[in-house]
Amino acid sequence: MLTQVPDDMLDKQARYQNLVEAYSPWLYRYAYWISGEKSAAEDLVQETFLRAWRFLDALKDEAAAKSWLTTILRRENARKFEKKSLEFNDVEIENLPNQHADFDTRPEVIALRIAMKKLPDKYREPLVLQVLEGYSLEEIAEIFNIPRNTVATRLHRARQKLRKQLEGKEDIHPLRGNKV
Amino acid sequence: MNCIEFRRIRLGDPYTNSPELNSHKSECETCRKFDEDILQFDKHLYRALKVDVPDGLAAKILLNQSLQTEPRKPTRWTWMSMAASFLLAGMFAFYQISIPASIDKELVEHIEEEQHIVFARSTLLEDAQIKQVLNSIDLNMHSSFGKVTFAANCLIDGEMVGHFVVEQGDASYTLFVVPGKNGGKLVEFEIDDWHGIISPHRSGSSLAVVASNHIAGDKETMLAIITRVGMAIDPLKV
Repeated sequence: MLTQVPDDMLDKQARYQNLVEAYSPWLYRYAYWISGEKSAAEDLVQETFLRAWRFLDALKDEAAAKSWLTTILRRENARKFEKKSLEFNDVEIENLPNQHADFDTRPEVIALRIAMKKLPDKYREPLVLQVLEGYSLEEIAEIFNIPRNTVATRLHRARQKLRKQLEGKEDIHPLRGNKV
Repeated sequence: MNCIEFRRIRLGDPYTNSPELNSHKSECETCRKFDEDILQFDKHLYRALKVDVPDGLAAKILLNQSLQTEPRKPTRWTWMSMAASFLLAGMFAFYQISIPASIDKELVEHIEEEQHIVFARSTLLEDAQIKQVLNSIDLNMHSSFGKVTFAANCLIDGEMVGHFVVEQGDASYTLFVVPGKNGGKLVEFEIDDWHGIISPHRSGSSLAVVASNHIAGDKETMLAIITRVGMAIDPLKV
């Protein structure tokens, strides 16, 4: 007698595959900006998805998947890398533009990458969530477990600090000297 | 709303609008310009943050997951089967020592011997035909392998294996499901005009994908095939 693999197991595999395909690029980029290096980012994403597989039944609402995965990734990062200070590799930043044709290598964009790496974590992380993936202030507040107004203040300061870093560099400033 | 309040809100959240913000923007040319500049700044920032994602990341994650065994709640039968497993593991370890660590040469030799028969076919096979081949080596299939044009049980190095040809894009990839030979890690190889990847599977088998250097062979596609097949098969439970 043959025993079929249960349907719920197949559903779980299919759900998982969809999550990996939909969210792994986003999670990798987020992991890169919070861990500081490519190999650590890839490890973080791998660990995040392994944990997600184990606890997939806890995800009841597919619409909440992105925030759920982001939260897992932040916890994994805290567990593994938080004690290690964030040390972005300058060489790695400079060498990033070596792969795909759509990778932006304009001087002003590279200057922004370098400025981003100098931002403290508490400013850089919400900014990545907001700008790269369009998270609302409320969603960021929930992920960080802090008040919405605190998120708004951090984002405000993050942009101010970035602008300040780029002051005096009108040749590479994205706004070419426009006073913001 | 005054200019200071407008700018404070926009620096924190340039993407949400409200009647108050819109009203101030329509009345204040300086703040309208400020708003445009912030959005322009964020466009550059978006490009800066969008770093390249490694090729094949999703395939690697799925492969990694497929190598994990599913934890099950222990039952009395589980404990009994664990005891039996210890005995079998000892026998298996002895057997492992007696088989070659790598089967890459045997796989390539087999492809070269049979390629005139194997690659001439273009009709897609039914899942039942694939399942029959897998059942012969004590495996079962519960989702699709993709487009398969050849499936047979072959003897390689004295052992029965599953031999398949999977079409992906414009290219043909040879897939072997080799029971009982599991090196425990992913191995890549190059032999003459062929290259391939051998991956362990949670069933204890190995999955090997081989492609001709002349026809096909990007690593990402091979990993994707291994991942898809790895998720599709399980040991046959009798």
